[in-house]
Amino acid sequence: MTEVSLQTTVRAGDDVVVRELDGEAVLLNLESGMYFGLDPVGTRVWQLIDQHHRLSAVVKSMCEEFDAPPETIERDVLRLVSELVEKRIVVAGP
Amino acid sequence: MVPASPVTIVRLGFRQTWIGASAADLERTRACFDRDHAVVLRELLEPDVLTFAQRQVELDGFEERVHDQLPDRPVDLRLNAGVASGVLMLLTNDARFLEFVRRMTGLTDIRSFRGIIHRRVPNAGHDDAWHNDLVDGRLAVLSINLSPEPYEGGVLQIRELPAGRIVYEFANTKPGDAVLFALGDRLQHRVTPPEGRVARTVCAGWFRSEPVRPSVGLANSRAH
Repeated sequence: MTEVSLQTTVRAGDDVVVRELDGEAVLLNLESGMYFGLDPVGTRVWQLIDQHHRLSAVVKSMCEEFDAPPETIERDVLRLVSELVEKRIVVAGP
Repeated sequence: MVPASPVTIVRLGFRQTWIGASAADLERTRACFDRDHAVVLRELLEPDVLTFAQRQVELDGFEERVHDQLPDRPVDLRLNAGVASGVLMLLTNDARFLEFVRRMTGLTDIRSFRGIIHRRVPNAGHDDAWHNDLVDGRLAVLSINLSPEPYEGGVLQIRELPAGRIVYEFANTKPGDAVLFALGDRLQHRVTPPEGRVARTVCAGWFRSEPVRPSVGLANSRAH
């Protein structure tokens, strides 16, 4: 699993096409041909990544929007982003 | 021959669906669809999408397909599942594009698009027959030209029953352009054989009342 932290910034990979279908994001890596579907919560994370890039800001917004312990939200966001980085759906910066 | 609209009113891009039509353009296009049962969508694919799809089509490869349900069992080539099909299914199922199509056609039940990429080669026995496509919840047809260069022949014809009078004919020869046309129990359509030396390669499929996710084959692909 790729290491990401709250200080990491991420953006969509250049070879990734994203569309929201019925309110859920679908991501297609043009290079690998792999699809990824995100559930509504994952879709919200994706929207916030697109908006903020820095994961600390993503987690902060998620904590404001969802009724869950902050440590749970942080863990879930970092886990999802790690997976997306590993699958080259998003590109991580410093 | 029905002339195509010179105006680009909608474009599918990698980043977004662009709708540049004014309300008056949309109304004119809707009226055109009602009158002719079809409308041409100029430059539906943005150039980079078209270039990518054309290149990927050659990589994904074709296999022969027999249309068992049609008279004389016509044959053509069907693209194997791959990135070319995937990206076009994703772009054509974009919510803004589906809403555009609902407005153009008046078919408010449309929820998704499912299509395939197929190729007809001149002088290879790749023929078509009159049919209506009225199965599987199909509501309207979209055909996007993915050919590498303009082809000859390959004219879409629509006829009205019971008289059988052809009411629409159009050769969508420009790569990236598309034709959106109606289905109905008093309508049939076919495409005449390609001629010359260039194969006719299109992404053709149906707007349907089925939910969107199964249409793009995503039911088991969740990452989260």
